[in-house]
Amino acid sequence: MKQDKSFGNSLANFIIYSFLILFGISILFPFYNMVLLSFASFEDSMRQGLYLWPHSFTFDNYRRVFMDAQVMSSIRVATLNVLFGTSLAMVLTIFASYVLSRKNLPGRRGMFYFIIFTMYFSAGLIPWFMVLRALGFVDSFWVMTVPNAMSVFNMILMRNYFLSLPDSLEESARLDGAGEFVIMWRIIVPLSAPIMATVALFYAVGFWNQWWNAMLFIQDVNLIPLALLLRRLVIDNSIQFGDAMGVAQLAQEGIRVHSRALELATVTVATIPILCVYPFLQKYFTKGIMLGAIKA
Amino acid sequence: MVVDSRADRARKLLRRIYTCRYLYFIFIPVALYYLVFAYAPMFNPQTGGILMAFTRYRLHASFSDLEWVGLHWFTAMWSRPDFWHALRNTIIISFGRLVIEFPFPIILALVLNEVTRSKPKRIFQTIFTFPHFLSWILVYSILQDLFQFTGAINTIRIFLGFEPFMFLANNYRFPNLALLFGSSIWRGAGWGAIIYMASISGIDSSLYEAAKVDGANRWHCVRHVTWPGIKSTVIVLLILACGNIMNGGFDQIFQFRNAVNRNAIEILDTYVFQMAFGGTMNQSFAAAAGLFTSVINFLLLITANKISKLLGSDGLF
Amino acid sequence: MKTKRFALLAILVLALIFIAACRQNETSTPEEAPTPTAAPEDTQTPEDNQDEEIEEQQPEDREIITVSVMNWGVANSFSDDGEICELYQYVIDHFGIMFEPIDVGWDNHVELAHLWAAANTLPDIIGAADFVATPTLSSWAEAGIIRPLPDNMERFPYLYHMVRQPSVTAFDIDGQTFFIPRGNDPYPEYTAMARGIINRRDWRESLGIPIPQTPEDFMDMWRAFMENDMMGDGSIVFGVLPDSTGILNDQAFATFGDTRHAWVQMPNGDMVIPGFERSALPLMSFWRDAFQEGLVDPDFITNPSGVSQELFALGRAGTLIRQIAPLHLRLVYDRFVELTDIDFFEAVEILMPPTVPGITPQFLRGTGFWSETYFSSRLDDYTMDRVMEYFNWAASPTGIATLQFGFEGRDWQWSAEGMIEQLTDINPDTNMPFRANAMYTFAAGGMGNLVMWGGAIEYVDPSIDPRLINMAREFLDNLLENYEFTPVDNRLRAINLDEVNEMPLRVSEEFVAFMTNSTATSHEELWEQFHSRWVANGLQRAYDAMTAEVAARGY
Repeated sequence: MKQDKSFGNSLANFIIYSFLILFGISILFPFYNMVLLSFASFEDSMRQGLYLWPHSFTFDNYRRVFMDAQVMSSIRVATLNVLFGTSLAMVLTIFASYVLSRKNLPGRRGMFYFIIFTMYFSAGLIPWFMVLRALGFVDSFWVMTVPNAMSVFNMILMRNYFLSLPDSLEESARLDGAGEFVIMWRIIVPLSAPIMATVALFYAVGFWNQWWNAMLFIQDVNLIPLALLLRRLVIDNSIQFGDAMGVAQLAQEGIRVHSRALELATVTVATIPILCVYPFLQKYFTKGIMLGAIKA
Repeated sequence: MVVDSRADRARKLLRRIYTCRYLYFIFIPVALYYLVFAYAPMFNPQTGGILMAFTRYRLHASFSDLEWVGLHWFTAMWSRPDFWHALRNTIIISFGRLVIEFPFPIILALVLNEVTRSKPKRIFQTIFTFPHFLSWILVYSILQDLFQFTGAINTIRIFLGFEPFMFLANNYRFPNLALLFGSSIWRGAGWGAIIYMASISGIDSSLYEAAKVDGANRWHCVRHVTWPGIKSTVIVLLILACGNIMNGGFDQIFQFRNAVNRNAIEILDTYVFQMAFGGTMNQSFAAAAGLFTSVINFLLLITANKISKLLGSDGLF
Repeated sequence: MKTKRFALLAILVLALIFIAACRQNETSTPEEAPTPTAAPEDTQTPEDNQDEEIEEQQPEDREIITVSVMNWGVANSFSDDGEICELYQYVIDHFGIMFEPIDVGWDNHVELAHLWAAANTLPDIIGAADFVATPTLSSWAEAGIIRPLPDNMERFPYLYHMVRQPSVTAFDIDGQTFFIPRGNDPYPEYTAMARGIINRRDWRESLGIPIPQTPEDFMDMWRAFMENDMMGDGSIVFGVLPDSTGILNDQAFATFGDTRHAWVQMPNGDMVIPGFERSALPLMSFWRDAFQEGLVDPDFITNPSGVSQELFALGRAGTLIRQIAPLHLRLVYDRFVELTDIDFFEAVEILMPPTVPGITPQFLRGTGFWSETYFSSRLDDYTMDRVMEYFNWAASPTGIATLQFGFEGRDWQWSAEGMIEQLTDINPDTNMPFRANAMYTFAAGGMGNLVMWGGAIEYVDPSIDPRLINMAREFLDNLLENYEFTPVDNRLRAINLDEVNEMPLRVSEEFVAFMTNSTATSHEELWEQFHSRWVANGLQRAYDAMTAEVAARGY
């Protein structure tokens, strides 16, 4: 695209970049602080206030995180959750979105209500727990993914995208004798790369950070996912140092870490894998596509 | 004009169903999923399922000996002025969010789209998603460093000759809402922009070419190509947001709330939390409160949908 | 083409995941340790040191029973590969009990307990609980999922001593006790939650201020702290820093009368909550005056828990209002050691609360426990007795000390003064002798505090500087000498009424709202406004319901 060199254009560029840079700094500065703090010693973590440059440098906080024997296994569990859960969720969501985006389907309204009703009304924690228990999900690997396999919100997003695709694509495919399955997988899905990437990202991050189901159902230490492990780590640690109550007597002797620094270290550990994967997905929703060419 | 008879219409309907039969097959796994994980719990005999809001929850009760209390939990809520005050706050805050927070990711996506070089675009995009991964506890602690009475902002205020101000614990609406909305935007705009960016990239780029040929400048492109392209996404998300008005953002407000600013920011969910969990964990009460907000939310959703259809769009459904 | 490749890849990935997941289940470690066959001679423990009162059964007479136990961090007490540490072996040998840990966290134990109760899968020993004053206790007892303690608890003297206290029997259902309290019972005179006023004596003396006696004296002292650049570098110093919002109306200032959030019976039989009564106005006014003058660090309202001692050590305020039991004092002491060069014992004092003319002080002795252990109804009487035997030992001074410090005679011993003397080597990480939680896995996790908190021995704990213990003890003895202590009637906590449970008001919150009110309204007028708001939101309804109920029960 040729750059228009007019003054209006430069002014627009200036405003745009200023806005983005300002917003970016407002985010980077606290994060810079946080990363510094995650490398701070116990004593320095106690002196509150914003860091501009490091007073001390220690790996203690990160060591505390990785000291736990379960860390590697929990990372493996979380990875498996992401791979399996995202796949299952994408399949179900694509099915639902495709079906509900076919405009001539009788009963479409009712089916949609059927799903969206669940977004607003639920039976509560105890009945849900009982049902899952009856189905054998206690202490099972699948409990972290299957019950959360569908998000109505994501399905609505995907359906909306499908609806924006031109009808002519579907019609010409039908004329060629294609069945529903073929249309769904070979035409609609490939053309929806941006929404596929987006929804997959949403699901993947959700499964990576999943801890609630695990907390309620998992006792087996080999099945604890990363998010739950880190959460417990921070809470246990803050009990030891924040609140006497006799629990302080339980303090594991050894590395002393301040709860705030430890929390930041855990957030960094949990988030870095996502940020590594994210750039690879970005290209799916930043480039434009040439619908016209595909049609031909 | 010949009008179809009832029999004709029925036959046409059956015909359509038959044509679409595979679609129903595809939908079966989805229906099963919701039946098992969402609807089955509603009929759980032990707790009275969906009726829990009208009974008093007792351990291991069967359907027959559930104690019916009717609207007791609801009147317990409605009889307190603080409840209505919290409701008012909820509406004010939710509308504020709609007006102030909602457009921000859209604007961000549109602005980012104007960056043509892909490398800075991706860098900005990645950076903007960072705060999404922080819990509200962490975000609040960052705000504390900045805004507490002895924090950085007040230090600057003193330096400039002003009195320090208790940003985090005051009874005025404006500073509290500013902090709420501001931190919410900070945290969520980048992540929320992703979906809009995905929509934008779904716009046929030949449309841009055509617009350029017609002499459109950047602003015209945005107004006449980009904006219509994402309009349907915006409307869908807006309708969903309307269906969320009664919620108001529990996670965030729970962190921010204290004895001093509660007048300004107490919402329904936090107020109910005080009532239900002030030592008792009353399941039925929580169920009743949840039912109250859900019903209103659902009605708002349907209303918003109808209105958007009247205004000419496709709405949500 | 692309679709097919993608589908194949997906199937491959899913298959791999499936295989991996199955493999995980197979290799998950069994929770049961190999059954031990140790006869008493095989144990490596030093001489048996059971107290005479505990019946000693020969271990080889009895079979080993296994019970499941739920408690915070209990899984940390057992090694993953089934290895049994010396301390656990000792327990197995002497009590014939093995444990199956059900791990719960601090944050989720309430939720999990409720879910498991609904599903009827509660573990045998339910150790992480704080239900006693809620309807949960009665609903569980009524549903028959927890069982009462055995008859003849005199057989277990240490437990008997704990459970026959009125603070415990107040929660009896049909004359039966359904839990073992977890608390600091050996020292009932010293409420574990004793609150006090911790002050910078060095600052006070350097300014020539005598020990404050009246509320005005305290405000003068705080003013002086703020006006005299105590840190020497112009940094912000406040007069007083409350540790939390809850501490304002609690016993630190009980000389202002009873201002708690608790039920009290008036002479005419009416039930009221003193914190909402007009009698609380003097203390509320005191705090409002102090706050509006700027003497109170405003950030106490939003500070997270656990930072007040850090701030105090760093000179944020001259006075800290906090719990002052030895373990709590040690938290403050540690911060001084870590962050400053100041000699804590020269610089810090605990002040007696101010005398307030015209008001009768109202010091209360607390309940002594704030969490409990329940027992599933699946336990038959025989098993229950065996469990009680273990609990009794773990509640005895020797038992508590063993779980905290190791084996008597080898790792520690009683000194002539009745304190605990550690005999282990110095741990290089902490510069203190090794404790049980560093030497024995069993003591390192939730089993260590299942029966009693470590706080039960805080007054004889060698890891706490004896000067700290003396500070706490002196202060509390002083209080006991000068003031009447009224025991709290727990029967009132045991009453559960809708009107009471649904009332969302908290005295501490109202105190903070009152004190931060910066309008020109006078204290009396403001209190009237607050009071009418409280009544409109259900205060009087709660009062009436409680009064009627108490009258019906004949208390």
